[in-house]
Amino acid sequence: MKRHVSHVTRDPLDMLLSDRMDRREFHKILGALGLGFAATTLGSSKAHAEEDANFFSWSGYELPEFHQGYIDKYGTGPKFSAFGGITEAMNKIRAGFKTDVAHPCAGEVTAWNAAGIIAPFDTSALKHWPDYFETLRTIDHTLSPSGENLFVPWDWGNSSILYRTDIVDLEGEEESWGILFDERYKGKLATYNSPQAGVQTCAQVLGYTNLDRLTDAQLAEVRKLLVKQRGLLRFYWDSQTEAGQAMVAGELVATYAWNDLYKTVSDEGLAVKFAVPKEGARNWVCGLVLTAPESRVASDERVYDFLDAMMSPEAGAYLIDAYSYGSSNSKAFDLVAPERVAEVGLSDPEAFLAKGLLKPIPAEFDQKYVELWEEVRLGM
Amino acid sequence: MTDRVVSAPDVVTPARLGVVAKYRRAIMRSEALRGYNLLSPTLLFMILFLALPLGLLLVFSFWTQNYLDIDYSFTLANYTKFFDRPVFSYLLGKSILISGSVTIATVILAYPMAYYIAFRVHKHKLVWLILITVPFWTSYLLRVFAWKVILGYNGVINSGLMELGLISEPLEFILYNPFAVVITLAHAWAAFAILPIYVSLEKIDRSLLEAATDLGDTPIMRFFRITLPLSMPGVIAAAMLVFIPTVGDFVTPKMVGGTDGVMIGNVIQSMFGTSHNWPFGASLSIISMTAITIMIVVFLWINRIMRRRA
Repeated sequence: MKRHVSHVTRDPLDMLLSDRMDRREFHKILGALGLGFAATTLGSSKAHAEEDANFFSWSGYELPEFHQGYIDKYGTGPKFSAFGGITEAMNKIRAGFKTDVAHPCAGEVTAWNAAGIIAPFDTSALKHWPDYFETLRTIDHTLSPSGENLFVPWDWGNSSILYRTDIVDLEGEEESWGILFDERYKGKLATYNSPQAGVQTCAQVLGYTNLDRLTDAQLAEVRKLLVKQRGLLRFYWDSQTEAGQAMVAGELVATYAWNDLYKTVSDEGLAVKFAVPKEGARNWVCGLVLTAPESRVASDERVYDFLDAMMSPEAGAYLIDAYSYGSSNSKAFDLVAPERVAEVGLSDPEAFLAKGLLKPIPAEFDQKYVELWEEVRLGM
Repeated sequence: MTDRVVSAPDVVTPARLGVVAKYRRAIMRSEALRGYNLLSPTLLFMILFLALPLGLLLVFSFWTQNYLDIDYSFTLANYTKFFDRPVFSYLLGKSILISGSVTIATVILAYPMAYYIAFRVHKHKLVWLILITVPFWTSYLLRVFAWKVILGYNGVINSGLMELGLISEPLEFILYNPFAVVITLAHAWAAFAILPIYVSLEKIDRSLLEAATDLGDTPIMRFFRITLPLSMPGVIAAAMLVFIPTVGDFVTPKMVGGTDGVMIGNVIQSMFGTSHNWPFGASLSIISMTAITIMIVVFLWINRIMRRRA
C-alpha cells in the first residue's frame, strides 16, 4: 500500500480521475475539505463581527481619497450608501436603516437629535479635533442641550445659481434667485429637489427674511410662485451630476448649484458664472453625525478610525482641490496650492461664518416646508 | 375495565399510535388537506411575505401621521383626504392612462414578434426566444438610462436628425414628459408581452388555419376569425402582466418623466420617503390596488361579453 501510493501522483483530482484513489485517501480528502470548510466559515463569522464602518452620505463622498487613513489601516474602505436628500436620509434612518456615520448639514442636527437618531461624539477621541476651526466647532445649534458635540463639521461652502453668462441677460440688474423663476428661460431651468432649499430660495425671491419661520400666509405666496416655477423647469434634480450633464449638453441655462459645479461646467469650456445673488447665497456647513447605538453596525474603534481618516488634513485638502468646498480642518489649507485656495475663495471660515449661517428650521415649520414642496413638485 | 388493561400492552390500537402519526393519518385521509400540505411551503411563504404585508398596509392606512409619531386611532382621514383633493384622483387617472397606453403599445408591438416566432421560425425557436430576453440581462435602471441617452437633448435621435439637417435645434419634447415614460416602459416590458402571446399562438391547431383557407378565407380574414380569437388568452395575459405593474412604477417617471410625467407611484414613494407619511402612502397604495383590480375585472368582463357574442 505504502509503496503503491508513493509511486503515483498525490494530486487528489488526478487520483480521482485515474481511479487510483482508495477509500482511505478519499476520506482523508473529505476530512480536509470539511476542516477547510469549517475554518472558512469560522473565519468569515469572525469577519462578520468586525463590520466595516458604514457611511451614509451624499453621492461623491465615496471617493477613497476621503477615507485613505481608514483604508491604510483595514485594507478596505468603509461601506458607503448614498442618499439624494437630507429629509429622505433622516426618514430612512428613522425607519431602521443601519449606519454608523451620516452626513447632514448643521441646520438639521437639532431635528435629528429630537428624532433620537444621533448620539454625541467623544471629541477627546477625535485625533484632528484640535486642528479644527474654532468657529465651526461651536456652532450653537449643533450642540446638544447639555453642550455635547453632536456634529463634526466637515465641508462648507455656498449654494447659489450657476448660469450661462452668454444666454442669461441680467439687463443691468443684480444677480438674483429670480433667475430660477424667469419665464424667458422656460424649459431650460432646473433646481435641486430639496424642500428646505426650494421653499427658502422662493421666499427670498418674494423678499421674505424670516426664512426659518415662514408664516402660513407667506407659505401660500411661496406655493403660488413654486407652482409657477414648476412649469418653467426641465426637471428637479436629486444628484447635481444630472444638472451638470444637462448644462454641458446645452439643455439648461441656469440651475441651483453648489460651488463645485462651476469648475465642472467651466472646464468644459462653457461661459458660466456662480452667482452672488442679491438676496444672499445659501451658505452651508455640512458634517458628520454619529448615529444612535441601535443604528450602529461597526465597533467604536473602527468608527473613530473612520472619523480620523475623514477629518485628516489630507482628506480636507482633497476636498478643497477636487470639489472647491472649504475644509473644517485648518491644516488642510496648508496642503493646497495657495492659488487654488484663492480661486476657491473659501480660505477664511471666520469671514464666511460672519455672514451668518442659515438658521435651522424648527421641526413644525420644516414639516410644513416638506409637505408644501412635495405637493408642488409632484403636482398634487 | 379489566378487558382494556389486558389488551393494552399487546394490541396496538389507533389510540395508542403517536400523536404525530395520528395527525398524519387524518391529514392523509382528506384530499383537500393533502393538497394544502403539498402547497404548504409556498403557502407559508405567501402568507408571510404577501398576505401579512398587505394586511399591515391596510392597517396602516387607517392610522395617521403626526410629524414624528403615528396616531394609532382608527380613522378614515387618509381616504377622505384622497377624495377631497381632486389632484390625487387626477394623478391616479393619469397613471392608469399612461399604463393603458403602455399596455396597448406593448401588445401591438409584441404581437408581430410573437407571431413571427410561432409561425415563421421553424428551426432554433429556443434561440429566438432567448434573443428576445437578451435586453433583460441588463438592469432595469440601465435600460431606462439607455432611453435617456436615445431621447436626450444631445441624444441619438436629436444628433441624428441634426446631422441629417432635418432640425436645427434639438427637439426638447421627446424627453422629460409622459410620452418618454410610455416609450421607456413599453420597451422595458416587451418580453413580458411577447412570451404569453407566443405560447398561445404556438398552441393553435394548424389544421384549423388550413380548414379556414380551404373554406375560402383570405389570409386577413383567417387571421381575424381564427388566429386572433384563439390567441386572445395570451393577449389578455400579456395586457395584465404589463398593465398591473406599470401603474405603480415610479423609477421610470422619475428618470425620464420630468415635471409632467409624475405618476401615482412617485407620490407613494414620497410618502414613504421624504414626506414621511406612511399611513397616507399606505392608503394611496390600497386605493391604487383597488382601482387596478376594478379595471382588470371590467376588462375581463368586457372580454367575456365579446367572446359570447362571437
